[in-house]
Amino acid sequence: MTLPRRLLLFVVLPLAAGVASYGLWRENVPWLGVHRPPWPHAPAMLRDHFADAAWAFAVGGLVASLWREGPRAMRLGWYAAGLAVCVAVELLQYAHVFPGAFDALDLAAQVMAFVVGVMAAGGVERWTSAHAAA
Amino acid sequence: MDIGTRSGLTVLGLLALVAFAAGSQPRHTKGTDAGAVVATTAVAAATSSKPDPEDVPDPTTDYKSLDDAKLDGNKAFGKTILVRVWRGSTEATSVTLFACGKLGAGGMLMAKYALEQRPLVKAIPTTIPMQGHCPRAVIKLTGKQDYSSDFKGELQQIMDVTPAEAEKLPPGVDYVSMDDVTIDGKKAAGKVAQLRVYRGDTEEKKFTAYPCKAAGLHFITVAFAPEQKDSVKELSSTPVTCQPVKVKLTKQDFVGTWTAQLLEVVKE
Repeated sequence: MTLPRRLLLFVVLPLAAGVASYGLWRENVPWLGVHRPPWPHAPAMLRDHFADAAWAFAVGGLVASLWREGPRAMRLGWYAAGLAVCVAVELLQYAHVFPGAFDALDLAAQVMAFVVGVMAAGGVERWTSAHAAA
Repeated sequence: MDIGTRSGLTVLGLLALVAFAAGSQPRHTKGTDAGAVVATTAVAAATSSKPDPEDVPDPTTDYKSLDDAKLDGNKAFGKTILVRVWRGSTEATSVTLFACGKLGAGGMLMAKYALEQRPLVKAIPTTIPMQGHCPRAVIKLTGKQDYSSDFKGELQQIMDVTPAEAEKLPPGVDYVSMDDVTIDGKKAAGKVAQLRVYRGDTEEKKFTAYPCKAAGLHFITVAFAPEQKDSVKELSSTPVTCQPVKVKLTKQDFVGTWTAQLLEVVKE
């Protein structure tokens, strides 16, 4: 699969799914304002955490798509940087530095989604073989 | 692709994703919203002292979440609930209030309010504020709505906001916020409104205008003259860049839906 297709699949589509989720079950859509969602009583896990998870999946997808090849140390370094970005974005909300509201479940969902994104875009075999090589 | 290019792309991508995340968070509530000044760090309107809102203790109520009240079913009628809210559609004597999501149960309720409470009602933010900054409201539950399991009630107290001040109107203009148009309802017909809007569906002689930062769902079907076609064409069609238009309101079709005649697209 080419890099552009990989970015479309593992970055653009998850982001689009996250944005679409706001329209489905949240009353307040970023940039667009208030609306009456078609599924306002969606499970809390979906309503409150799906968009965050989709975003973190995209971060993992981005890093893994760009670093499928290259020195293993750099690849792992960028994976760590991507994970740090996910964690920092949530923790900085706690400190009111980054807009939004800190939520421990958001943090957990983002870390898990990041790992899933890395494994999906990087290929499970490649990811495990990198560890095996270590 | 060499390592330098790859690293550069990664940094750019991560920055773009962080910017995306920041942009998609609920908007801050400081600043003007539909003309009403909303200061989330302002004093509790129910008091005359100047403590931080968080220092004003919660008033005593029967419930502190809509879920608890709903679990009591009809027994909740006549009881009071404390809930942190933002608001949707606002009419002359009633307002749709939404419970702020993560602070308690989700859901909405329709609350009647007294005329003297209007400046406080208008100061309730029309989008979900940052967590911990949704104003508190005490509502007496009076029943359920006819077509849903959502409660209706009477607004008894609004905290953590300063009363909204009256709008400053340009000469020849009766309204500068959709809030006030909706509050006045049919009485606004025949009056002139200058509103920030973006353009939706456009036809030969009319277009749909969506007011920006309005509380609840609103749109205006705006008729225009042939010589105004170019101005209409230049109107922004995205909510990111809203533009002021002056219209004469002709008919209220539904609560937040109006028919109007375009007077001019106001240059900024």
